[in-house]
Amino acid sequence: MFLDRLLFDFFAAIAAASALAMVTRRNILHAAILLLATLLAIGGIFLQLQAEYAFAAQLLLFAGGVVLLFVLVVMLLVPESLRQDASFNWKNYVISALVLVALIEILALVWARHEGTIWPSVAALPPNNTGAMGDALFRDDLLAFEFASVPLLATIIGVVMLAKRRTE
Amino acid sequence: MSQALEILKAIAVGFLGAIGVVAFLLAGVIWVSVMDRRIAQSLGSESAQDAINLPEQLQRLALSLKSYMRGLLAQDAGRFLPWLASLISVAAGVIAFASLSFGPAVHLADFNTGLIFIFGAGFLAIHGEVLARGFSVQNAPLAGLARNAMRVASFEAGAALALVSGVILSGSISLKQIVAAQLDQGAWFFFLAPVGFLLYLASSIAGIDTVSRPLARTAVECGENPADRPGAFRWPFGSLGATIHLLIGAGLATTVFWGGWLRPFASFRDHFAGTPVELLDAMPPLAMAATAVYCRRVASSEKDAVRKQLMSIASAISAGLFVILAGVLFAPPAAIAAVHGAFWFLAKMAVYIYGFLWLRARIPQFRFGRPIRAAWNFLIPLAAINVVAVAAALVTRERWDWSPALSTLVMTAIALGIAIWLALHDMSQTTAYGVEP
Repeated sequence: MFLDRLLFDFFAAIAAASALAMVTRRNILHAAILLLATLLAIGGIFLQLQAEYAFAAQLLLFAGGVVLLFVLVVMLLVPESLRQDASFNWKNYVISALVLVALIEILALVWARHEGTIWPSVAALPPNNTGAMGDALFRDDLLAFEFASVPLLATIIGVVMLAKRRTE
Repeated sequence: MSQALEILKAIAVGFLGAIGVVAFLLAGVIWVSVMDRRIAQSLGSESAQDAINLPEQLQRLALSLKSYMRGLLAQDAGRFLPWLASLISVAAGVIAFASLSFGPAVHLADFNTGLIFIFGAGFLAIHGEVLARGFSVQNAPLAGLARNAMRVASFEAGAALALVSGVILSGSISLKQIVAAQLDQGAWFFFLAPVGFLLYLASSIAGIDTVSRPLARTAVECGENPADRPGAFRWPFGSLGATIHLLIGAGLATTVFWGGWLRPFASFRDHFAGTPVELLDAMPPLAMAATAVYCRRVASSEKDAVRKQLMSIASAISAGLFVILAGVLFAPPAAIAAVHGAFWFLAKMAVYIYGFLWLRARIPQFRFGRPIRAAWNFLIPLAAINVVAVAAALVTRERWDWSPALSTLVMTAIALGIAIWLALHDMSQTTAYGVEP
């Protein structure tokens, strides 16, 4: 139990520290790598909570897919001079303020619900929760799951159309 | 107090496991490099002009590690990211390797989602490749970065789709359960999904060959001058990560298609009269004894002093393995299963890697456009069709009581027919694409 707690604190500290470092970096490539560190640390927390599917998906989709895309786009499209943009931009402050408000809201919500609520703990999960999740997605809520795939299909078709137009 | 003990124990187990994995991987990398070189030599290819033997490989690896560590310690702002990049690549490989199961009880980490995890780690390694290339080769065209990432991702998609046939047949993404399913069904999945395995092999060969080359080749191809060797060791370390990924790919192929740690004819369980030892468990010690005798003979007739020594060492190792494998036969069945399981797993991996290198040495390396087009016009569609074919075979077996051989044969024939049609179609389209980008 104590080990669990220690691991959680370890991953949480890495996630928080690298998230903080990420938003304060000027170099966006460094920020992308710090984002990777944050996502991996959160993946570690998932694994420690025995949410193995969430962990693997985090690794494959976010750390592997999304951040890789960021890194590639930054390296391909953003010139070296713009990667370290230090100029003042009021929009950044507005967005930061909005994010801060949202963050405070979430923290307040967590704090308010903290008393008397039982947080999902590892013991309450089914022993094979990856299998349980598969059952939920592909048997119990199949229709909703398939509906969610329609936008994805539309996106794939859209990408194919865009790519085709360029080569022909 | 007990908490402190618990933490210490966890750290000690993790630490020892990590050391074991890294040592094993380094040994595997050296073995792969030597094998690759031997195969190139037997083909008489020009990259094999200077023969590289084991001591030189060891020296190369040591120098490579040394310059790598020096780079990590230098903390030079401009060079830190490239080193971090190769660290990501190698670390992702080590972590993925650690999650393989070498036997019913021989594993460091056992996830329910092992297959997805390994692919996730593979994508992490692409990060390493991209970053390393972006920083370390200042004059590399940036478009090359995207191409390499795209190439690796394309073939990894093909390999992943090929592995799905194993997932369908076993109904699990846990590596242990995939092996267990092969024991239950009485057949390795290679025999139930041969097209899947061939696609996996083709994807791994095509995906790995230009992005990454084993240690031995890279140094020669970079035009390395023996006098200034340490300078060239940034590249080999990048390809160290790639060689590790070759080993992981072999581990995955073994697990999903070749029955993992299962012995051949695993369902044949006759015992030696009056003992709990199974007849076929005598195979591993006998094989090792034969290897030891063979190596001893080769050593006695070998002229070259270094080779003579190497063969003697190999003979001694085989003899040691014989003692272990034979000795464990007198231990409880669980111990037999663990040790012999690991033996079979590693033996299958070795055979797979040898076949992989042998094939790769014979397949010409194409430039960017052709493999990518082959991936998207041929491999990936065929892999998708194969997924459907494997599922259909499963349905015919479960609903209509077809025999496994019949259903596999019919569905494999259909998949191969579509493959031929796709290949012909692709060939007829070739001119329409014009010049490659």
